Amino acid sequence: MLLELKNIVKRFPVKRGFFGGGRDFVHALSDVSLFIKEGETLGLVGESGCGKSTLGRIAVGLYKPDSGTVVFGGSSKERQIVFQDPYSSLNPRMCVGNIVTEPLIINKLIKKNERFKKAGELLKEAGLNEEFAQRYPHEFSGGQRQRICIARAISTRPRLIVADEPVSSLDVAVQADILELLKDLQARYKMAYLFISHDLRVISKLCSRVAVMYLGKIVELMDAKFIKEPLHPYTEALLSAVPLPDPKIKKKRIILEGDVPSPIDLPKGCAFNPRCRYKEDVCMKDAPVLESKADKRQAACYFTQKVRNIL
Amino acid sequence: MTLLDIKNLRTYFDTEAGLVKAVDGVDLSLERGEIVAVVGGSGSGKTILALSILKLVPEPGKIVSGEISYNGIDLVKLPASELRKVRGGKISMIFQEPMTALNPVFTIENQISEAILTHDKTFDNRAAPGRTAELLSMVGIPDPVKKMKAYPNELSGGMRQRVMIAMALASKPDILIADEPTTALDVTIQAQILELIASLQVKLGMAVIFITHDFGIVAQVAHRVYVMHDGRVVESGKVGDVFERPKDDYTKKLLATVPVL
Repeated sequence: MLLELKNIVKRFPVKRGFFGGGRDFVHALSDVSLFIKEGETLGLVGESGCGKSTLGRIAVGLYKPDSGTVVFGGSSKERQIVFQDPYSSLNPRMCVGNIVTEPLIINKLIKKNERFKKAGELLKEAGLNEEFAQRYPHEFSGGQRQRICIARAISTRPRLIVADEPVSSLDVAVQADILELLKDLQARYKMAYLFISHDLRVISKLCSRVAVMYLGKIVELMDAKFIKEPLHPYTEALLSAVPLPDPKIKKKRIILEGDVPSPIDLPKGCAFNPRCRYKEDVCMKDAPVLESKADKRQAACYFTQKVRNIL
Repeated sequence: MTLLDIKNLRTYFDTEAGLVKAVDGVDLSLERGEIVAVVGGSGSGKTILALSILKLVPEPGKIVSGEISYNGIDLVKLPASELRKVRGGKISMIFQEPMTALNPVFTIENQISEAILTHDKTFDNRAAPGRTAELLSMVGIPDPVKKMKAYPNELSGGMRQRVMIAMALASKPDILIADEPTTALDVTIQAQILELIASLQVKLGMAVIFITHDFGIVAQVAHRVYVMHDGRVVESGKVGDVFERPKDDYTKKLLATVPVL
């Protein structure tokens, strides 16, 4: 096992009112367990605020969990991350050559005079021109910047890369190129990816297993081949919301009502119950736990048999 | 008469680095009650096309030639005072980022009633709150009388986009221009907003110009589509035809890159 997360809990304090009077917490992760095997791609899907980025940061060691254990079978330089926004994740005052080799310098893996030679190689691997090393981030487009971030992430030959929504700020044509690059690099270096996205279409292109998150919990975990046959009502709704590129299909959509509830005041019972179309009394009392179903799939729902196949 | 008829529109930016032909000879027509999608990658000129229709092109951009005929009136030649009645009135626009498009220091009610009072003379100060609540309930905001007292930061992204749509509808527009209105939203909220725009279009009989980079969305909402690339329309037609028999290579590429499940 390359990475194992067990019973991870993470909350963030928020200020309430002027006179103090007790603190509130954002419950970012409540009891999440996950593992990632060497060389595989685990997709993590969910809406804004569900805790997927927090989980990604814990996986790479940027946050410490409040409780629970993180076991990574490698050294710290073998975990790297690619962020969502390629504009804010590159230092505008550093030239690209210094940016992509910074992890190597920090870890004392190369000498400073080898920097630009190495930078050229890394940029080439990320599908960029070697001469870009002399230039600065603002000279590049969103897609090129994301390639620079990827070049930086692969510099230390990591065994795990956490990719936190790496393509969601890019337009579809550029998205496809970046996904292709990630696939090629994985084939060459046998890295594992934790691939975070809100888009099931992107997840299904790249991942071998998929974890679906809702309000700080994993509600479904499955092999990617089952992505069109969800067991959990939330996965079903996510799937139904995906726009299909075929004007002939006028599918009956399941439109979820309302927004995701506040992670400060979590609903009682199953967190999904206020938006669920299958809910019964039990769902408002006790939260279902993630349990094994057929085909090594796991879902946290009392009524998985009610979920219909919608595609 | 065609509701909106754009002929050979050219919007150029004269920059220090040279002349950028953002919109370079575009023809586009829009009939009453129709949803037309404009699709293209970043930098294809689709947003500048939308801004040109409202004559909101940022400096140093200029409409250098062409005709934008709305109900037979050429907007390009229209003086600013006349244009003001059309812009935000008969032609409204909603933007990609609802947070930056709303003013953070005014309540939702302030902002929507301003749009009502500016464009619809049948309402006065006393009648505006009622109309505001009516618009908010039309876009599916629960408990509108309470919600209109809120400031934009108190609302979620999806709710803010609904507020933007309510504001755009305040003037009872003939044409709604939606510039990537769901790109910043989650998929489930995106589905809600697309459904809302489609149902309002039918209910109010508006025409909609829907700007997007996602062919999946085109398939879902639009009747006709224009594909833009490098400032030009490379292909246009009924959505079904373009999907089934794309002619242009760029269209084919865009279609091929749409991620499918």
